Amino acid sequence: MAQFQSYNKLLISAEEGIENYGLNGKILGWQFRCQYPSYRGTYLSCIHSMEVYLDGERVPDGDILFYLNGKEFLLSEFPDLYKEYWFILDKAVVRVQKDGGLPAGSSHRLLVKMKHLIPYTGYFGNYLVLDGSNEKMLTVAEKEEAVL
Amino acid sequence: MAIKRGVSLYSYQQEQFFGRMTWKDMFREVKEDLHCDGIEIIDEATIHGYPFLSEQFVFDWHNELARYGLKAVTMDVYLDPMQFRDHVMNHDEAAERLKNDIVIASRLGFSNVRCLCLVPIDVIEKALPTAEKYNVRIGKEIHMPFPINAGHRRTSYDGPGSIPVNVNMCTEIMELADRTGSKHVGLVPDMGIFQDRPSQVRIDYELRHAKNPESIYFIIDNRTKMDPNELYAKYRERYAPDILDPMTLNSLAMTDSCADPEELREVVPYIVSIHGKFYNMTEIEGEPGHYEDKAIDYRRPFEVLKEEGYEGYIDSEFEGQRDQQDRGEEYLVDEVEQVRRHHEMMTRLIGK
Repeated sequence: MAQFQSYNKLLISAEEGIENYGLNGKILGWQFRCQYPSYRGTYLSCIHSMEVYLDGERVPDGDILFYLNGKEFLLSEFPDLYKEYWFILDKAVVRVQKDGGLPAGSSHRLLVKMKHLIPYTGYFGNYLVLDGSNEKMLTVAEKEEAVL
Repeated sequence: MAIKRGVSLYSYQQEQFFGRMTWKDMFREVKEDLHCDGIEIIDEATIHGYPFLSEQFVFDWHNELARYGLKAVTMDVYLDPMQFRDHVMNHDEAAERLKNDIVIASRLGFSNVRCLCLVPIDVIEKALPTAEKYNVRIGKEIHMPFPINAGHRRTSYDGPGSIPVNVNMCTEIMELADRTGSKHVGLVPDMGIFQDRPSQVRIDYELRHAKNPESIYFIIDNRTKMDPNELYAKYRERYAPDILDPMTLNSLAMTDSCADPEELREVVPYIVSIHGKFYNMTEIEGEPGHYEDKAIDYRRPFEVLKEEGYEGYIDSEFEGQRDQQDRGEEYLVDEVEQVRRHHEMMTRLIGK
């Protein structure tokens, strides 16, 4: 079946790209923004996995903080977040904790892969899991500190 | 009185997603270009904050409805049995979800909620008192490959991997309505049940992606020549392992429509609204400015609906964009134009 391939490009928002984030002048890591790729949103519990790769290297899940609906989540919390709804037009902020962030002006290949189940399917015990991915070359923004 | 026209904002999903149209822009299009007043939404695709409703959204919603003189007809609600990761939702939980959706629909002024074919009848019955209390009708969708009539001949593959079709679905709903005397439960026929051939955009999509395009032609060429289960067996035998999953196969291999227009007659009194499903509106040869979807029969069902005195809404539900989203943005179909063509056709078929 056709699987919203065009929508996958919004898994990484080109508009904001990669930005460093921090507090009081100290850079704590880098971030990008991400939209859910379908015609309706999802409960976070239905996202089976979200993988982030920078320049070909997998970012450990434990380094990632996911911001949505004014809250902060770990990827490992997703299975429990069955009341946390990701509206299709809302961009989540994905933060990767890394002291010093990434050099401003440097270019990187960012890849995001997401497996998400379609929770109204469930035929004979099987359900539909969609596989989305998006890759972009992005330049780290020059500004010092990004805010949510 | 006559059949009334409306639009499911689902039709403009790409426009919304890529930030070219908000729901307010869609309202304006419905009123000012299509000159009709019916609005249908998928709750969670339009309501920011779903499953919670903010006062701000409620105010904004009613304000825009009033601004254009529109009517909130049907709110399409889902049921996500797999929402919880530690268990499959039970029927009580499913009913609670439906009740919550009914309350949301009521606050937004909707007359109906549409629930999916696979929602069990006892879940609907559990939610019925809430529907009565809030004066919102529950309409169960009759969606291909579900038939209206349990005795309808098989028109698509129904073996392992296909959707489990409850052929008694419509009967169960009508019995529930009759037994309880409730006017708050009924049906939402989707015009896709009158689709009798695969849509060209569907075929083109599969041809672009098939490892062996000949396998797609095999399905198209043989779909009316053999029983669907036999066709699937032969197809699998010839082309495995590079074969389509059964549900995708069914989108190409229907031997005929899963319902006959005549069968509409018995369900008309139970219809709460209708989904005007379509995939690809093209100009009718020799009739400039007139459009049709070659894969779906609209003419005969409209005749039956008019004869039976149906005066409710038919809301356009464009779904052909999905088969054209696998390439660059330049290939995306113009949803606004497709819906305008659909309304040209509906206006013409409704007549005076």
